[in-house]
Amino acid sequence: MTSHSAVGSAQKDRAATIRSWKRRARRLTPYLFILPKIAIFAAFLLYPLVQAVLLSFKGGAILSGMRNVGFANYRKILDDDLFWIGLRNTAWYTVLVIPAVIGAGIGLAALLNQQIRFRGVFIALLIVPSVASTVAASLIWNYLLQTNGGLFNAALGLFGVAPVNWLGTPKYLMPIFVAVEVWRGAGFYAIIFLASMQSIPSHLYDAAAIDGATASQSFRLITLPLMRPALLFSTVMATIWNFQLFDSPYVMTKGGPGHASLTIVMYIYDRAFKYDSMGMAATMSIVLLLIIMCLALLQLRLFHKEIQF
Amino acid sequence: MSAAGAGVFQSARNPRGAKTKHIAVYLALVLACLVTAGPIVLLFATSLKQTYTRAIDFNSLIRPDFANYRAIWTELQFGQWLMNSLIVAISVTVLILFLDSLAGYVFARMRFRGRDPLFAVLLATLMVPLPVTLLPLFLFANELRLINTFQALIYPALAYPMGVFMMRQFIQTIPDELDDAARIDGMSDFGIYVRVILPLCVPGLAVLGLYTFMSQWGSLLWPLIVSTSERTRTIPPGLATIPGQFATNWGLTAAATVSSLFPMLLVFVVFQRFLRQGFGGGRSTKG
Repeated sequence: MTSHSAVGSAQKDRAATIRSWKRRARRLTPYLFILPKIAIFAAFLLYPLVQAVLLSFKGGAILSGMRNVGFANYRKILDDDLFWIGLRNTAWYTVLVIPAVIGAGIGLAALLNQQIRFRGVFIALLIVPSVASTVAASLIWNYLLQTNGGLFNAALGLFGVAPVNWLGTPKYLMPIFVAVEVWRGAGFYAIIFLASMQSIPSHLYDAAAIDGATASQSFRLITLPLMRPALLFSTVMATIWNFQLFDSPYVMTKGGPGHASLTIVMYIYDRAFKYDSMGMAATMSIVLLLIIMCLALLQLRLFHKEIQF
Repeated sequence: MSAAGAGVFQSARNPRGAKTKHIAVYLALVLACLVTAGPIVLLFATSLKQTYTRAIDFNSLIRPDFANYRAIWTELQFGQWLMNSLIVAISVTVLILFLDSLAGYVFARMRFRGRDPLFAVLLATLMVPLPVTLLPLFLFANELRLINTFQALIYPALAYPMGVFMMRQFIQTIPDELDDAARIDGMSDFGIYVRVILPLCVPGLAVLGLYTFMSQWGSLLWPLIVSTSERTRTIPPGLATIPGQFATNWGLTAAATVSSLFPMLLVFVVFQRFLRQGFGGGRSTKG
């Protein structure tokens, strides 16, 4: 019915069409592959984020209906004592915990980086608290800090010191939470920093030793600077995470005594679910977002310039 | 591997001081391990006894009494909490590994319009604190009648972009030539993802999987908000109720806490093997 050449060219056309479909499909592939993640990300992170901003301008309660009140919420929280108490507690905690936990991580990593035996055993033992959730760690420290029969007071008793009501003394509370987080987190950071330290070529240290550098000089001038990306990333993430302190105070003291251990996130939670002011809770969460953004960007700014390679 | 080990404490000037420093290192590490592991051992000892005499009492390790471990199933709802935690943590981990490695592959290898701005958006949201999105999510779930359901516990966790960032980082270290070789052999992009990239990603996946499981296992705030009954309550909110109800029953508290650590330790041990696989060998190209 058709000549050979006609069949040949029809086949060629079909082949060419299929090839161009495939080309178009390949161009679509990236979009297809990331679609599930991006869709979920948009629905459960971006959309709520936008909603949160809108919510921060609303007043009223969930059941009775919420209406727009403009910046009234923002003005109200500036007058709210509990907001400032929460902010102060959280800030104080963060200022203490970041150097403590990052410092402990670096210290442990430096120790582990030596030529020692049983490194694996040490790492395993140091990691154990990191495996515990923040809630579990809080319960453990609750136990240790008991006024009667707790480990700390028993130790003090050996020196003839009277038992201390640790969780009942306001000025000890934030440092206690710092201790819990350092106990729980140092091992985790230590592993990250150890990996970073081990990627530093040894000939740098050899060259420094030949030049007569001391151990601490090597550490300050070679190790730390070359660890900067890992250090910076960990510090920024640790700041973001720790400024949202909630778990330990919630489990150990529920914000008390009085409001001595109230943190910002705890107060947001109370406002939203205990006092039923969702709008104000949202407003505070936006303020929290702004604070964290500033802290993170500040840290990035300060240290980014000095990353060598 | 121990590249920098020699450098830090040895210096050409004082080789003898190095020996004392060496001992000091061991001492410091032993001390640190006592601090980290000691309380856990003490906790375990406490979980094995019913009456408390002295603060530091390890006798129960020799003569254990497992009554508390039975009690957490009867007095508390530990069985329910455990099952729920497993359901949520495993689901989220498996799904995240899939979603994030696929997305990480795209961002690492493919070029398309909007790639960099999109990635920047993902990165920027790492700064967003939890409460910001949790409040609207709660209202959202409330409207859809999804409060106290597993969907509410699982879906929001899948949105977190950290894994995409990690996988992209990791995949960038895999040489492009492998992709090209596979493509010449006629493999589709998905085929390359499954047969070439994924197997080489095992250590990266292990880290991400471990990290995701760990954060889901210990997640308190969202489950606290969303689980209004024991039906979907996970371990952390469950444990958090103990100080209120059983404030002085340290044996019970200790048993519950230790039990919550076991599954996590198990997962850790299992994943360890996959972690070591990557950091040790694994050369996929010549030279």
